[in-house]
Parts: sequence; structure tokens; C-alpha cells
Amino acid sequence: MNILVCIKQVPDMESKFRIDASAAWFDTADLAWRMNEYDEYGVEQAVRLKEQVAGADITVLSIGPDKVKETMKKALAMGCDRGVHITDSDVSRRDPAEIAGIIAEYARDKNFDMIFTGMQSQDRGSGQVGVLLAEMLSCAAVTTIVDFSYREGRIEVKRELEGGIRASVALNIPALVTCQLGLNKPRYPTLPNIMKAKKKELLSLPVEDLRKLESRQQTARIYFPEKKGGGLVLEGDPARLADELIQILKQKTSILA
Amino acid sequence: MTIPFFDRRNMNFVLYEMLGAEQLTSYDYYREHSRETFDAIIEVAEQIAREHFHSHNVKADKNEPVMIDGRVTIIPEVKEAIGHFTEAGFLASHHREDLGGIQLPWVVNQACFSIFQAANISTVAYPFLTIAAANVIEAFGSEEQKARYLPPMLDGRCFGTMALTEPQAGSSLADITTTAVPTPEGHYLLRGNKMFISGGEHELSENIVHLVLARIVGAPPGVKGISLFLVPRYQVNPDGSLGEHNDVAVSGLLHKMGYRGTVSTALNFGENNRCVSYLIGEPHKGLTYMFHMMNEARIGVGMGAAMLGYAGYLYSLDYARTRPQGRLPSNKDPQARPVMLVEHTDVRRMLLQQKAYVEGAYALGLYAAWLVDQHKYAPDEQIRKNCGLLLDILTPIVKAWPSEYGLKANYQAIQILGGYGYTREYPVEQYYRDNRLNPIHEGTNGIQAIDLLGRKVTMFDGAAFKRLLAAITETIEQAKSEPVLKEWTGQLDQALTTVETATAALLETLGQEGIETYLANASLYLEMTGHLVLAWIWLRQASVACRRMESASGSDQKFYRGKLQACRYFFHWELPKVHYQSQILRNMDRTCLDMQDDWF
Ligand SMILES: Cc1cc2nc3c(=O)[nH]c(=O)nc-3n(C[C@H](O)[C@H](O)[C@H](O)COP(=O)(O)OP(=O)(O)OC[C@H]3O[C@@H](n4cnc5c(N)ncnc54)[C@H](O)[C@@H]3O)c2cc1C
Repeated sequence: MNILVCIKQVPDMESKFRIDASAAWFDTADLAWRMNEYDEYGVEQAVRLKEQVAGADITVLSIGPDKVKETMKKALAMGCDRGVHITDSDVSRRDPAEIAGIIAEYARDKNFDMIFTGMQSQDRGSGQVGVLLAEMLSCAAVTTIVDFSYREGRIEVKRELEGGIRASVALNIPALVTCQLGLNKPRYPTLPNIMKAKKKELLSLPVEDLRKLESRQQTARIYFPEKKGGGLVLEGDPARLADELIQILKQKTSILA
Repeated sequence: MTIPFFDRRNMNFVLYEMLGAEQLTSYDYYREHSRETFDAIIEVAEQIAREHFHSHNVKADKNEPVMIDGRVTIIPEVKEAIGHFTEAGFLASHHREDLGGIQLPWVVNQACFSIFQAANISTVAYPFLTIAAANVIEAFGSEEQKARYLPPMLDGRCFGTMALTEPQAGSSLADITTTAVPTPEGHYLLRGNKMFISGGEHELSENIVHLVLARIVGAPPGVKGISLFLVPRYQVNPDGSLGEHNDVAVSGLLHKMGYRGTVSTALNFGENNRCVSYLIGEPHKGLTYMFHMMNEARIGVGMGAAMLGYAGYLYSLDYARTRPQGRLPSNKDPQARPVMLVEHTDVRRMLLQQKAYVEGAYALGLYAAWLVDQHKYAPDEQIRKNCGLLLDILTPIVKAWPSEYGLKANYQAIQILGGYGYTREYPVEQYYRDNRLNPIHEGTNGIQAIDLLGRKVTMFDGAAFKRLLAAITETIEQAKSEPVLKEWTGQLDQALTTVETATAALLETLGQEGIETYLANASLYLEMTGHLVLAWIWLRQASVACRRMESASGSDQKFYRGKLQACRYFFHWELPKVHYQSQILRNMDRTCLDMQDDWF
């Protein structure tokens, strides 16, 4: 089985973000970087699938500047077999269709049976790359999966819906799934596997060779939303306060509807 | 945003910019490594520490181990956290590949370990003890002992302890009375009581191996008659399976001020006269073997103290930046918005003091770990020898200074939080309680002082002491030409002379008045020499900061400025203490010596 996992390197969400000079993205200096959390679930699921299916092979792919290789090494240490790094210093400016197009261009003739992507990235959050990619490769896609199993050419997944409902979906491979938090418990790379990852193949391809689509949208501006007024402090005697609080809860929330 | 408990930027500074840890990869033993593997490993340590150790630090403090139906019960998070630590391979990391290790340099190992210490000192104590015990078995055990006990100790099935202390013999190990009787089968039967044994009984692992100091019957008195024994909780069969429960019983758990997650036990060996134990190495060499492990363990204790200090510093820094209180003295307008605590100079003093102590102690600890690597694997024999000497003389300081000053840092962290710092709603009081252990265990700081002045200063004809002075002089020479550092190089040079003079005067006393007078003020000597060493470490950090400052951008500029300012604090506020301390020492002050018991 031929598996592809697409991962993105994102800033640690605990970082202090500053908007950059273009005002269309944040300043990337002084940030700590890590694997997009949703993608970690994808990597883990791919590795579990490989452990289940003899002879399966996992390619991990990432687009970005040289430093994304650090994150790819983590995926290799978690159990992916080979890496494809698409070198691109402009990745943060590309729209989801462009990104999906680049990956599709690479993947088109590789006959992947299963593709895992995150449901969205933590920094851009468009949630489009996975589904666009599936469309471009003409394969089925299921989004927001929280459970995954595979048997004889068929996968069965559970999707998380609103209102605490889940849906169970079954489909034949080739297929693409986008992974939601909680799909599994991503493993930590072990130290011996970190050493082994050093020796795994990591191919670099220039983005120019794969970029065939023009972007369809542009982010005009990113900004911090203006702070709303501070909290409300109620004062007075307790009985009246309780009435007042009930009123507010009724008017402003659905708790006491 | 969560408040960080350790500072990766500073770790990188010490590890790579000050110590140049990548250069270790040119040594044959470390050739498979690179900066990239170091970083990836540190990353894993950070993630596990954050997700599994830090997350139950408070809970473990509030729920200390208890005995239920004769079994020690510990909150489940402890086992889970150690499971992740072990599965990742941190128990075996520094060992050879054929033992399942990855030959990770000790300094990188220590750097990873420091993250766990900052996250949860009491949970990481179990692996800490296991690693130390496995090191002893690897160094001195027989091939058969290694084959039987090392694999389970390196993959987490078996934990280790160090059982030295007895109720009547703590600092004075010469007085231990646990005895070992040889049997015709070749093993020994052990009998005696041990006190304060950390990790002495639990269900966190399948088995426990106690490394016990005891006397073989008929052994000479004193330290020359102490041997080291391996005592498994369950017998281990030749095929590795577990056999009978050995005759080791818990007579009680101790309830402590801090480190509450680590179970502290009083153990009875051989109540039923069938405590099977195995001699490690040769008879009567037990203490030498134990001290082999102690050197590295003491670096670990010093690091732990530095990390608890560090975590408190980071917490109080964040608090000072976000707590509005009062106005600056120049602002007379009562309606003006209050400033953040960090705006008050006195609060900045307390922060700077903490920064100077904890970043100094941290750099010292990693430097010592780096010396371990050099001492073992540097290709040049002279370097190996010199680093060994430095390690010998620095060990008491690396253990005692951070445990003294890390605690003082925690004092200031509480002070910055004011009344809130004194409540159990904030972590700083726990850091303080946890850190209070470090001046006591692994040889009290009083014993470290005697070790430094009584043994290390004079060993090999003073060669280790001279090597230390030479190393400090080298740094002074290198830093001299840098205008920013000029003032400090002069001050360090003076302090060096002061310490040298005091030492010479003391050695003269040793000849004239004997050891009692010579050692009378040993603790003060340790403090003085400790401050000299810390000033040296700060000058080394400042030199790096100076070199890098010019080409640095944005936040790096600020980072280096912070380094220079903390160095300045240490040189202006701390280093001058060595002069009055040296005065007391040179005067051979007898105040404490002459004080009589019945005058109290
Ligand atoms: C939480 C905790 C965990 C521990 N874990 C372990 C463990 O795992 N294994 C183990 O074997 N031990 C352990 N210990 C024991 C620890 O190492 C001893 O407590 C320590 O060595 C001091 O011994 P003591 O308590 O008997 O104090 P004492 O030796 O009675 O010392 C009391 C004081 O007198 C001073 N003093 C003693 N002798 C001299 C001297 N000759 N000259 C000058 N001053 C002196 C000491 O510096 C100290 O200040 C632990 C202790 C604690 C509290």
C-alpha cells in the first residue's frame, strides 16, 4: 500500500504573534515551529496503517523553506519511510488551491492508495487543502475523521458532527481523509528512531517545477480584533444581584432560555 | 497562554553558544550525532515533560504516596509519565548502542533531564535513581550481573535505588552497621536497616534493584570496610523471569516538606535472615564505587536545584509583568493607572538576583556535564586528564552552590508574588519546599564543604585546584581585550588572587595547627570559592553575549543584553562578598571553633 501524509510546519500557538510589514501575515522571526497538530494525527494514523498492512510505504510531504525539514524529520522518526520536501520560501503567501495544486502535481502519477492530511492548519485554518487535493486527484475524500479502520481495500471512518453526533462512513481506497483532533494518540518519536530518521531518504523538489495553478484568492489583511469592553461587575445586595444575573443570562445567553 | 517552566533559548545559549556541544560530534563515540539529532531529542523531552510531567506536578505534591494493605500506592500519572520517558528511550540514551542506547553525550542528556526536573522534580527522581544505579552496575558489576540486571533497568521494567543512609549513620557512612554474611553458594545474606531510601518500594516497575552499602562480617572498621551489594526486590532467574520476593521490607514511609511525589522509605533488609544479595566488584571498595556514581548524581542534584530556582524565576517574571500595583515614586497622581510590578526597581532587583543565580547555576551544571563527556571521550589524553581534575574539584560546588542559591532564588520568587506567593494557589511555594531538600541529600552542603577543602583542594598535590585557577585565568586573558568586559576581568582577577591567598593561608594553618582549625570554616570557604566559580561562569556567558551581540537581531539583542546585565549584577552585588569571606578565612577566625556547647 502506498500512503501519502501531507504535513505543515506551523508556529507554536503559544507564541507571541506580531503582524508583519505587509499586514497580510504575521512576522515569522523569533517564533518556535512545530508540526501542525492535526497533521500529527494524520502521521500517527498512517504509521498505524503501515503497521497493519505488510509492505506499506509512507511518504511524508511538506512544502516550505528549509526549516520545515526539522518537522519532516519528526514524521520520519515517528515511522514514515521517506520524505518529499517541496522547497518554497513563499509558502505562507499561497492560497489553499495553490498548495493543493502543488501537492496534486507531485502526487498525480504516484498511485497513492491512501492520503492523510490535517483537517486544517492551526495558523491559516482554511480547511481546504485536503478536499481540494482529493478533487484534483479525482479520489474520494472524507473530512473531520475521529476514527479510522482499514480492511481489504476498504476504509471505515467516523466523522464528528455538531451536537455530539457522529457519522460512520465507509469507502473504497484510493481515498483521502482529513484528520480531526482526538483521532488517535500520536506517538512520541523514540530516540533510536530519531537516529534512524537521519538515514531515511529526504528528497527536495523546487516548487517552481510543480506550481501549475495560479492563486484564486488573497488575504487582504490580518489583524487582532478590537478588544470588546471588559467584564461586567455587578454590585449590590445578593438577592437583587441574583435577579439581575438571571436577567442577563436570559437576555445574553441561551443557558436559561 | 501557559507560563513556561523552562527557557529553551537559554538552553541553546549554554549548550551551543557557550559550550559548543556540536563539537562533541567529532569524537568517535558521538559520531552518529549532529546538532539536528540533539535538537530533535530535546524537542521530545520538552514535549513529554510538558504533557506528562508538568501536568501532575501539583497533584503529586498534594497526594503523597501512601501504604494501602501493605502496598505503596502512588497516583497513576507518575507511572504513565515515566512510561513515556522510558518508551522514548531516555533511560538508556547515553549507553552504548549494543545496550540499546544511542550514545548521547552526557551534556545533552543532562539538558534533556533538566527539562523534566523543572517540570516535575519528584516524578523524575525515579528514573534519575535508576539511571545512576545502572551506571554503577555497568561500571563495576560482573558480566553476569550486567547481563541479568542492565536490560530491565534500561527499558524500565526494573528501577534502582541507592541505599546508603542508616538511622544512625547519615553523613558519616563510616558508621553503617548493615552486615553481609557470605554463603557457600557465593551470594551474601544481608541484615540491617536503611533510612530515607527514595523509591525504596512501589509498584511503578516490575522489580527494584537496591544498591546497598554494607559490611562483610569481619571487615575492617570505617570506610575501608564498606562493600557494595546488589539486592533485588524479587529474585531474577537466569532467563530474566522474576522469582521469589526477597527479604526486604518497608518499615515505614516518611512524610516530607517537599519532593512529595517521590516515595521515601525506611527499609529493613533481612528481617527473616534470607535477604539474598550479590557483591558488586571487590569487597571493601563499596564507597569508591558509590562515589563514582555520586559525581554524576551530584551534578544532577545541582541541576535539579537550578531548575526549581529557574521555574520559580520564570513564574515570578510572568507575574511581575502582569500584576499592576502602585505607581513609581515620581508619580504623585493617585488617579494615574498603576504600573506593572516589573516597573518597580526593587522588583527588578529581585528578578535580576534570581536570573543571576539560576542562569549561573544552570550554565555551571551543563558545563560540569560537558566535562564528563570530555573526561571520558576527548581524543587528547591531556584534555581528558585536565577535565577530570576540573570535575573533581568542581563537583562539591556544582552540588552545593545551586542548592543554596537556587533556594534563595525561590525565596525571591515568593517575595515577588507577595501574599499570593505564600498561598498554595501558586506554584512558587512548592518550588521552595521541593528545593529545600537539595542542600541536604547526596551529601549535605556541610559535607560538600569538607570534601572541597579537606580533599579536593589538596588532592594530587593541589593539581585540581591549580587547574581550576588556570582555567579561570584563561577566560580572563581571553576576555581582557573586550572593552565591555574589561572592568569585570579586573574584578575576577582580584577575586582569584583573594581566593588563592586565603587557600595558601589555610594550607599553612593545616601544617601548623592541624585539621580541626583548617576545616573550621569550610562552609565559608565553599561559599567563597563557589562565588569565584560562578563569576567565572558569568564572565564566560558575557563573553559569548558580547561576541554575538553585534550581529544579533531583535529578540536576540535583548537576550544578550539581559546576559550582560545579569553578569553585571553578579559582579557588582555578589562577587565582592569573596573579599570579606576571605578576610574571615585568612584571620583563621575561631569564633565557631571556640564556641562551647554549654554556652548556648
Ligand atoms: C527526601 C530525602 C531523600 C533521601 N534519599 C536518600 C536515598 O535515596 N538514599 C540514601 O542513602 N539516603 C537518602 N537520603 C538521606 C540523606 O542523604 C541524608 O539525610 C544526609 O546524608 C544527611 O544525613 P542525616 O540526615 O543523618 O543527617 P546528619 O548526618 O545527622 O547531619 C545533620 C547535620 O549535621 C552536619 N554534620 C554531620 N556530620 C558532620 C561532620 N562530620 N562535620 C560537619 N558537619 C556535620 C550535616 O551537615 C547536617 O547539617 C535522603 C534524605 C532525604 C531527606
